[in-house]
Amino acid sequence: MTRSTERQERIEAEAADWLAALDAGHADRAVFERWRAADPAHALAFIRMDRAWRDLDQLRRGDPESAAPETAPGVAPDARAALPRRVALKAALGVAGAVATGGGIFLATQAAAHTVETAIGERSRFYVADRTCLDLNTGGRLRWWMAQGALEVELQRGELALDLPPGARACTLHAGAARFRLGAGRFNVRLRAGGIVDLATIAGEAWMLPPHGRSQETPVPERRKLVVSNGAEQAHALSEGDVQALSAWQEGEILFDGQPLAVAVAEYNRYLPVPIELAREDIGRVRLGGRFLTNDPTEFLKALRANFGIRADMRRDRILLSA
Amino acid sequence: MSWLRPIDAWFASSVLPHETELLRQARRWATGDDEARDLVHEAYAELLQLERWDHIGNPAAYAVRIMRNTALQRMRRARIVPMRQFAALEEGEHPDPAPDSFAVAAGRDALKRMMIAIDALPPACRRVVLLRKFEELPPRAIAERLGLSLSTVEKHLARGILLLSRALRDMPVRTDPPGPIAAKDSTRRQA
Repeated sequence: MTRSTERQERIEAEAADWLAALDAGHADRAVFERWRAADPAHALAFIRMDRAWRDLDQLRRGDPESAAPETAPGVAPDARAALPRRVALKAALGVAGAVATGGGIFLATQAAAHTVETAIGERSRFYVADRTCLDLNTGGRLRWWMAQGALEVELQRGELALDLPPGARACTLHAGAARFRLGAGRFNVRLRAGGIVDLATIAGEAWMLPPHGRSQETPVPERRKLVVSNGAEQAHALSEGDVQALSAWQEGEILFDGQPLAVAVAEYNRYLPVPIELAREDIGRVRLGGRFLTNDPTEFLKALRANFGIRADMRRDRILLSA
Repeated sequence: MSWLRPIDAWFASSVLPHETELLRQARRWATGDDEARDLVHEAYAELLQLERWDHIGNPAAYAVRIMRNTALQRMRRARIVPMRQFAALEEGEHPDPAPDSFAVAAGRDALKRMMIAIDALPPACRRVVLLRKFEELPPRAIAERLGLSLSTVEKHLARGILLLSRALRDMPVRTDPPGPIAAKDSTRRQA
């Protein structure tokens, strides 16, 4: 038993060394990743050190969790003021209780958010906060963190599906300039060019939160698609076909239902490292339908050939379509 | 900027917060604290090597199942098993560890504990940790201000993190966490 404790202590010391080296910008990333992958005990030790590192973020004067009024209502302004000297820190112990009741101290804060990114054609599906499922689509990027025991997610790029089980605490979703509160259910959110946000309530309800300073929440009932653009929002009903089209990517598929080829290609290209290009603009006007694989356009190209006589020329950096 | 892989981030948020409850469960199936700790770490190791970790609905309950299976295997190999352990394993219900109530209780103490732990650091470590985390100075600036080499600053920081991580883990919690929530059907299945 002593030997395994010694071993654990040695591994933890190594992990702490790595963390300090990474922080100083000194570490050879490749060597670090090899060390971490060599043994799950290494990965565990690093997780522990990283956690201590993040917990120390609470000391920061500019810690977002303690600074934002809505996340720590109990914090007295003095507690957040500078405490640079040991003496002042000891005095701060008296107000530590007030700071701590802001909640979420032991859990990661926004300052210690987890970032998840997907490459083109990649998808990342994972569970957070016990049973909430996040599924990040191609070319996406999000941050997630816990604030006072509740999940907050910020979609920075791409498209995200969220599955909040019954009984899950409401989750706050940031996308572009919009903010939403999501109840239990299934949601699909997409950030488009120009900061336009699409939110679909496939199951369950959501609320669009007003900008800071205002109080009126906008309910988004079940089976709706909300498009938020320049602060204004428009709601449309969500048909079963819409739901199919919205969720197809979660099964590795892309669904077309009468869109012009130009639009279909733009959508497909979200998933393709080698994009499809139209040799002439007028080719893009034909309308098509069907279900295809997001990671393989072969059948799609075959269908174009069979139905419209459109040929695909496989170049090194693009797939060129011509009539 | 996160140095954690997605699996690590998931582990940190979905498994590690349950540690106290997992240790408690492990103690019922092992002889002594060291064996209990080993049991929990073996479960951790298995979780961190899972390929489809993102498909686990209830990670803490999964960890409990892993520990139960390991404990069962151990008991089958051992010739003498304390009756208490054996009976504990036979129990039908293994309650889901519930972190929320524990985290709430712990949260109130956490900042205070951290400050006490920082106070207990060796002076050189403490100076570096505070300059880095409180004043938010980059390591190079710390080296200049304290007249140390950059590698010495790194060493102090590493030692500080190591000591703090241990201190924050081993300190006893003041209030006893409330009982865990009732088991769901998944934990009633045979191993």
